[in-house]
Amino acid sequence: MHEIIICKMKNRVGVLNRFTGLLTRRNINIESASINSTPDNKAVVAKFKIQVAKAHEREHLKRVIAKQIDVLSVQWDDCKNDLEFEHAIVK
Amino acid sequence: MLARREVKEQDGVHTVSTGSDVLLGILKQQGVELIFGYPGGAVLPLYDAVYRQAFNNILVRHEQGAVHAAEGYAKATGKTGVVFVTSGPGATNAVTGIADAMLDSIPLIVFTGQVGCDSIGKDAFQEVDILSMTAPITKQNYQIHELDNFPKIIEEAFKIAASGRPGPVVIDLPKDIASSLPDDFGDEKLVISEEHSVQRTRNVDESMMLKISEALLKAKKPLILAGGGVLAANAVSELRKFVHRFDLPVISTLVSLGVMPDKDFLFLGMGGMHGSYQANMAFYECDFLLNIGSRFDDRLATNAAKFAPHAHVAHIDIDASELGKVISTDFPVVADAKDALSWFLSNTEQMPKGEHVQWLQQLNDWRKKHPKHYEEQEGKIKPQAVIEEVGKLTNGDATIVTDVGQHQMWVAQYYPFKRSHQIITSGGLGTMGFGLPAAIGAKLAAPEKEVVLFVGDGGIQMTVEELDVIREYKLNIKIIILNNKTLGMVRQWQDLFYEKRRSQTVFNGQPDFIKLAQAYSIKGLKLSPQHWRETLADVFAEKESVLVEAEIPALEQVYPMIAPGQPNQAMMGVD
Repeated sequence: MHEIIICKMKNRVGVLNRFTGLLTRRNINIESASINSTPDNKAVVAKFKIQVAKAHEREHLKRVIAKQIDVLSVQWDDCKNDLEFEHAIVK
Repeated sequence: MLARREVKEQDGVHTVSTGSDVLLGILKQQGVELIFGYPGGAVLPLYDAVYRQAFNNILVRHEQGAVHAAEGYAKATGKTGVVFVTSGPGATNAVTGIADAMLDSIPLIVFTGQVGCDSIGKDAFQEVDILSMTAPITKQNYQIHELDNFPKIIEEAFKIAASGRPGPVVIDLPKDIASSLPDDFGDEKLVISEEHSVQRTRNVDESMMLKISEALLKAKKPLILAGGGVLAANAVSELRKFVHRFDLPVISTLVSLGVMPDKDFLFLGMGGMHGSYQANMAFYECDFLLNIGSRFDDRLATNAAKFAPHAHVAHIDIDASELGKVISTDFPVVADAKDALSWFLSNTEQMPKGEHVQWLQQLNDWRKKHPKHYEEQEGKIKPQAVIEEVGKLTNGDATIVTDVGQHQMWVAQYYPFKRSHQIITSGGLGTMGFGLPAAIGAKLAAPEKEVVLFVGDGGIQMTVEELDVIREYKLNIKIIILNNKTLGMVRQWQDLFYEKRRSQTVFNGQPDFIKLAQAYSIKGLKLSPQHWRETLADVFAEKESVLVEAEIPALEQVYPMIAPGQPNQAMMGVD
């Protein structure tokens, strides 16, 4: 099942590396991504499209992401709004 | 002219001249009394400050030893251990210890030297990208690029390392920052958003806790699993009060041994792969399991799908990501173990004791029918007997440090632990070479405590250079090598699961460990099968370190054993 993670993180060096490492460790491929800083430049909002096969693995991943020191907030969405998401990237 | 700034300290005024001096000043403010480290090119400014300030640096002989020593120190005290290593190989040598601390939730701050900011990314001498390397094995890591935020980052690191679920933090310190001459760091106070910068802790979910209390006390076969989180939260006293109030049987993990006294009738011993018969059968039979601060690792829940098959499971952990990770949880609670146990104590006073006398009787029957046991062999020294004897000689009160392997499991089974922070061992990563430096850290943390290191002939050779630290600092550590001339645990698996093909696990020659000890000016003794008990008694009467070699049967097995993937009740080696 495809998922979109929308993650607001501190805008600091290495934060993306730490985040993507969580996915790499679980052999999860990032199918698309977009990253933008917030207007005040203090945070970044990263959107990743990924696929997690098993429900309990998804639940665990959610909690692991949420506990990262640099993660300010995280939202998960199914891919019902996939078209809009990709459209936003084009814009 | 050097720019200088005065930083007031509690006991006077100290003049700061470099970034390194500022760092040491902050460490003092954080209550750091000693660090474990090894100098090198990139940390020359740092060690210059150590020299000028006469900061207490324990000079290890290898960077891996520095981190394990800091782990031992942290485990023995509950304080955050601090490490200094240089860049490049110094940093990579520290990686094993950092990973070990991550898996066992040990608070550490590891300062890695780094080449100057202008040289980073240019393959400079002794440059590695330690931030990328340590990202998955740290709670957080930083590279300092600006003097302005230097103090804030260090203070934040200390908070992160020790708060919530503890863990290691790496701070990569470029040489030019360490040697810079700050004019002013600004006087702004440290401001850390509790919500965002440290792991969130919450109030105890009272409705869920009430449900757990009711279910636990209604259960006919209740069981408590008390993990390392109980020790980390300093909640041993609360745990003991709670379980005695309701006569609840308790199982420990490897790292939480001592959470209950070995002799306590409610204590079933360690559970899992080499756990006691009664503990593993209790997992199988229980109808309500309350896990406080254990992560259900695969050495404990050997087959997650078949673990505690008849039980409703409640899990209290400070780390939300542990809930449901391995075992489905009916009653999940994110809470500090002390908060949760305090809640139980305050809110269950009026609750009646459950009716589980038959369950306690069943557990006791199992204990009597299948006690831990080993066969004595004429003319041989059995490792279990040595550990039991040390237990008697130390009245079960020594700080026990182990390396990894068979001896580690025998110690877990046969040493009569009775207090918290008593066992110092590498539980999650299973790091051979951990023991010797960790024992050094434990001894430095509490010099008044008897510290005993049990180690195998394989593990001692991985960090043997640290014997020189024992010599230099005149530490009194009793080192007991249980020598079976093999990599015993791997050999045991080869014998049991690979048709005795002992591939690369039998040493075809060894150093003379007694002479090796003597080379480091440490007394060395080899136990004789006839008089080993008397010799051990003499050893423990000594006020200095002694290395003791006990030659044990090469094919001795650790039993009980649950084969990998088998459920907890499927124990091998049980009569």
